[in-house]
Amino acid sequence: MSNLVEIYNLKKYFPIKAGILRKTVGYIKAVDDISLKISKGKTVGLVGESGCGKTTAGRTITALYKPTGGEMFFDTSPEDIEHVLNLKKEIETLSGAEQSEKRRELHTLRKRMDMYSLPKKELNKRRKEFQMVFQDPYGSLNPRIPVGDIIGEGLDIHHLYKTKKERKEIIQDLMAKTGIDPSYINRYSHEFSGGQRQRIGIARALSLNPKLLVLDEPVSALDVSIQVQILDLLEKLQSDFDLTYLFIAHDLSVVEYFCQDVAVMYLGKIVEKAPRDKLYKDKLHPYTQALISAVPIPDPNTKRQRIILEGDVPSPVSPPKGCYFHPRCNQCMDICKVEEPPVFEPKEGHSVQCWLYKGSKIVG
Amino acid sequence: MLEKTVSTSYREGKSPFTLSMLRLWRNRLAMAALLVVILYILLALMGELNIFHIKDMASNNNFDLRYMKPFTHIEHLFGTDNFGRDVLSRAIMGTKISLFLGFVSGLLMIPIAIFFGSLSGYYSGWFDDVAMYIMSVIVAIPGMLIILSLIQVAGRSFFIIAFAFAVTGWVGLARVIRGSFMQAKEFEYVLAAKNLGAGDFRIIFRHILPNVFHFIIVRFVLNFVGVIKSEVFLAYVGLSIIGVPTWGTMLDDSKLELMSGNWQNLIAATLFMFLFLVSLNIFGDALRDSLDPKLKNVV
Repeated sequence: MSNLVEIYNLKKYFPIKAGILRKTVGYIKAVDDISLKISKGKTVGLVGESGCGKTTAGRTITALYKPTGGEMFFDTSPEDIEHVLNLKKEIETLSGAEQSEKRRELHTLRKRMDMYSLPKKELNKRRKEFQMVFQDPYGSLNPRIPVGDIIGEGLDIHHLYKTKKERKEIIQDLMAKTGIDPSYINRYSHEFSGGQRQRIGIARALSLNPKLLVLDEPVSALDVSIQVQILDLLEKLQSDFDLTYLFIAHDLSVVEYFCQDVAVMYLGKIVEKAPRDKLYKDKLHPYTQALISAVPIPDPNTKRQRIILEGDVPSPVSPPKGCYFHPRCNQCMDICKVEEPPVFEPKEGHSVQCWLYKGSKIVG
Repeated sequence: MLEKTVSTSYREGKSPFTLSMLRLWRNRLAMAALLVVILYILLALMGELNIFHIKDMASNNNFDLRYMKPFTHIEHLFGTDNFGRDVLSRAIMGTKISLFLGFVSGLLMIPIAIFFGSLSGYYSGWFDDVAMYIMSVIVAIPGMLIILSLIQVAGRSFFIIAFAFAVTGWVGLARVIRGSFMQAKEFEYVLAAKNLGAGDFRIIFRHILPNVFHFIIVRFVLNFVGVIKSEVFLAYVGLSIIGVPTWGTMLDDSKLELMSGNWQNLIAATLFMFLFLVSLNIFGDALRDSLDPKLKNVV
């Protein structure tokens, strides 16, 4: 199966400015070198504690934030991607005039394929293909615009209709598909409940017929009964619209229910990545173990070992040396305090960034 | 398993603006104040159209009827001044100037404030630095000084004075707009619009500006208060508009007449100004309360 999205070495640093001259004194490394592949039609979950950079990662992937570094290929053929990556590696080995020539070649290639290097106009055109559903159903709808116009905004921007009547039909169709009464087209967002607003947000994202939908904690602000309704709706839409999801969440049971692949984030890095069943059965990274042990089990008789994480997530301004997780890790070794672990792949399709698996295949 | 929405006969939504207006409508004091303001506007209109010879009575000299005391003659309710002109008519003509001055300076001020406020709030960067520098400079100089020097240089015409008020008045509004834009550009609905591919122009004018517009409306209303007070000050130092009666010039005249026991001009101008400013303040406050999105659930 081909990949819809391939992200390489994505970085997003926010500068910290201080003093009268607004000098940059440091960086908040919200997303620090993550690579991710999302195959067509799949749902990938991105989990982690609050403040670990999940939302920033999602927003950078949809190009709302300009990344500090990295490439994103969207719906690009594997040959093209390989070509760009090889060229990039090649440049490092070369020097002098040859290098600058290759640099130019890479630059033109990236301008065509890498989403982050596209010119602004081109990017705005391609935004049709990847949309986002936001976390806060109360903040994600403009209070001064009727919901029909909120849903139809994308159609207006990309001129996707010929007559006013056609526009109204598309909007009402979307409303029906997402479970909002189409006769509410002229109502305002404050007249809807949280669940309904989230449906409106989903309808807005679907209006452009995207291929990828980034769901930024779409259910965390809703109560449990509504959560299930929204998840069911998303599942139904996935098959109806042929969608690929990147599901950002902190609720591990929701992720287990909803996602096929799971990536665990800690302090801007992806520490473990695996298909759902493998990850939940066989958790490799100590952080994942601790996270999953904290998920409540609806059975009072089960005895379980909880791994209690001590302390807070370190500040992303000055992350600890070595492995970012070592101050809180219960299996910390000497090497963890000194050197950052590479990404190991102890099992097929299951990668982990932890020294415990030294000796396995290194993949990045 | 779709959530069934209850169908009612009521389908048309009420926009937040409609709701604010409904809230304002229910505020009786504010509506009374608005009524007074409307009466003032009608009075000014009557004066301009010379209904009941208001315009004539305000400008024609009649030396037989000088210094009539207020409340003694029914045809000259507030008496007459040193040229025998009807003081009530002059106060009414002054209303026109005050209203017009507030209106024009507001109209001049708002586009400047929107331009600088929205662009510097939305883009930050170098434009913000430059705009903030300009604003700081204007704020650092006392406003009256700018107005006085502008009038000295460019003359004492109506539009120069309105322009002078706009030049000093836009900074406060621009700062409020800038702050709201900085806040709003991180709102999720703005990000959502960006995600749909909306350009900056669309985001600024369709998504952010309507949500900060209540600041502008309130500022426009309260601008009248500031302008009227400043006009009185200008007249008192002898720099108001020449050749037309204003509340300021009436008060200026009365400072000499008071010594000879004539208080016609004083009472008429103060009374007119007092009632107008109080009503406008009450209305402006109520408008601010009703438009404030934070109070939107209080119906």
